[in-house]
Amino acid sequence: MNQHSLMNTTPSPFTFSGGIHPSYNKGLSSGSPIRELPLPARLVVPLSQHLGAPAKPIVQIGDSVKAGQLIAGQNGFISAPAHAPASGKVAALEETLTASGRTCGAVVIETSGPQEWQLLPPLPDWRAADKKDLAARIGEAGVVGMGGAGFPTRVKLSPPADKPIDTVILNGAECEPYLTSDHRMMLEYAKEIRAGAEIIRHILGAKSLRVAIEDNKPDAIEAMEKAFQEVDGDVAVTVLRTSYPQGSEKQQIYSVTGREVPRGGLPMDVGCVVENVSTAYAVYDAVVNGRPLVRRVISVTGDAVAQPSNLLAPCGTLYSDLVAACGGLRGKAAKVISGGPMMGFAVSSLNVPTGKTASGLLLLSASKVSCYTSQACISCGRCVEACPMRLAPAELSQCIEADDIEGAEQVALMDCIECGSCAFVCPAHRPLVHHMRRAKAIVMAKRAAAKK
Amino acid sequence: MHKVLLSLVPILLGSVYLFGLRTLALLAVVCITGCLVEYGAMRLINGSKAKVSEAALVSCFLFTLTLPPATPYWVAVLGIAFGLFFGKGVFGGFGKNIFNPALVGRCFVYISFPSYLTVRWTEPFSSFPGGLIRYDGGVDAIASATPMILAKSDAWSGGYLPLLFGNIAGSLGETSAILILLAAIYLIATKTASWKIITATAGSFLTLNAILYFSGVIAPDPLFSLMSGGFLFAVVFMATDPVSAPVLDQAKIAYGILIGLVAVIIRQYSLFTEGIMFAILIANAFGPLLERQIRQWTQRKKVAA
Repeated sequence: MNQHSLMNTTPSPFTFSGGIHPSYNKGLSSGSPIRELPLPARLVVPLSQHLGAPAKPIVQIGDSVKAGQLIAGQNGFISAPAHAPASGKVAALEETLTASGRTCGAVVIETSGPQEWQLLPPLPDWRAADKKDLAARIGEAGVVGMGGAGFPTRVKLSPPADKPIDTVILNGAECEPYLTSDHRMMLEYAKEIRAGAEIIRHILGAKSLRVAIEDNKPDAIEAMEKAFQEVDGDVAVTVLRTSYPQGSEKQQIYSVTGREVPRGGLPMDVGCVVENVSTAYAVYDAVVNGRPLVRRVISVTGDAVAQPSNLLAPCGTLYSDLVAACGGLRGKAAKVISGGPMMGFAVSSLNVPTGKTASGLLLLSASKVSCYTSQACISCGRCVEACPMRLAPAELSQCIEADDIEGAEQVALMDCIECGSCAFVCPAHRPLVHHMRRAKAIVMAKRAAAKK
Repeated sequence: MHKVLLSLVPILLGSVYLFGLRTLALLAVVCITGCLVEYGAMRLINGSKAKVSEAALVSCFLFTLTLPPATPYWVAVLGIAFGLFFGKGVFGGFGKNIFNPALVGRCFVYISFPSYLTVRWTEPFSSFPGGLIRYDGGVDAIASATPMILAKSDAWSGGYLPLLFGNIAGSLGETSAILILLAAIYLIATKTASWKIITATAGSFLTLNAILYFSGVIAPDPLFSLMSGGFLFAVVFMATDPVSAPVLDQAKIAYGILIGLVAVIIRQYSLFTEGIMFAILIANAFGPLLERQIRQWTQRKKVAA
């Protein structure tokens, strides 16, 4: 036992039910340090890099912009602004295909010349600053959840007064196979992540701070232990059992605190806020350095890429530039996935830009990709055992196949977190996540129409 | 599905050894009929896209192995045709049936032609190479009784070993407990069959049987009950049929318990000697109801409005 340590490192007291154990394949890129991508000549900055309404562009074609300059403003409560990732000239305002397969508006910047930054006023003395001002600053800097959902962090950090937050969980689980960007961030930017976590805790006035990491990353656990040693108050590293999807908000809250987020509820309903470690870094950067969120670390990995790497790249970098920076393809890529293999989207072209939520680009050769024809559901219940939300994907998918969307809603369709555990175990290879996503989109559209 | 077929091979070989090559002939007739009926039913549903699923073959194998060795071919043909058409086709085919098709067929012939299915039993061959070189046991071997029937009138004196190895009178695939247990281990290890259903069914069956036995009701002891009749075979291969069993975990356990209890009650208190077949069909009918209730109990709490 380390007598000098003030930190508690404890195994998580609980683990969610269900979940799966895919092959993680993280060794491909976990050993390669974060490398800065040479500045691409052309950046396509999407206006929708977050959950909610797309940002509104405020620049014209031909304008000169500096790195960090606001180019599109926040548009509504659940929205986030976008900033220029590099200095240069606005070459076009156009529609672009994004990694999720949808199109959205984008500001195209031709980068040039020496890079000049236009930063927000730094607030190194954040402990003395007003909490509301800090949250506003984080919003102004365009910080969103970088784990994948892209929920505006400002909103998460401004819970209503009747929902007190007592626990901040820093999510370093990174349970998606292949991805290592959060892992490298924890190893290389531990001090900055700690500062970001302290700012978040300060804004929320939370008592406890937990750093949740899966037990397959002992070096990250050690790095976080060291970094958080000097932090006051109730701080601990919680070591999670490696199991997919430990990085999912609701599952992680249960694993760390034993609290269950109610159906249709949010983490704040049980007094928790979960922030990704990379988001904590972005919070630190926005507050202490005044730098808006315009770049992030992305893992470019898989067996079809020459040098799997973790690249620090401006948001708006085309995937083709990322692949080129990793030495190009090794052989032929049979499948290209934006994000991890479980929740990511297959992309049809490398001509799509990264965004604030892009954590990985996965290139797989034919030997790693399976092709299946799906069969009828035999109700074996394997998906029910695997579902971390305790749903019955078998029943849901059969409702959806019969176009009974209301029936699916009644068996908790909207609780589905699309983690893919059900499809992973299905012996009939049914495209279960596809069904859920389609049906959820129908329900969301119906709800939106009802509101109008 | 092919794992189920694979696991049935030793049992099939065992029944050939015990009851003769007629077993294979019966199986062939059932399989041909089954495939034709399945194809016909699927033609009615899917038109030219009709396909015969592997599950139909599984049903044919299971159905055949539950028949007494001397079952006439025409009875077997009627049984499997009824089972696959009315037990499965009319519900929409593979994946949609409420009841286990093999059991529906078995139940149909059991009630319709009781003289062939309940009183004409065949003594197994006793010395190597047994039935491997003979067609059937001949006329002499007919008209004995199974240990379970004998036990009902307290007339079984053979002990447990014959029940374990299967050299007793009984249905083709049901007699050898050890072959069925091996298949069960294989199916559980490959996650093909739900261990929850198997243990819940066997557990509740043994418990109620033990209660009756030790409280002085005239009943066979639990171990004998477990190994006699078609209980083991039906639990391992039919109760675990995923299509007709519930999906939710807790519902699977409740389903298993229901099967176990009903099986004991029917064996003990009804005119029928065999209860497990009815027990599973009854539980099939209650499966969706169990599932509905259990979902209400286990759903996540809704956020307070």
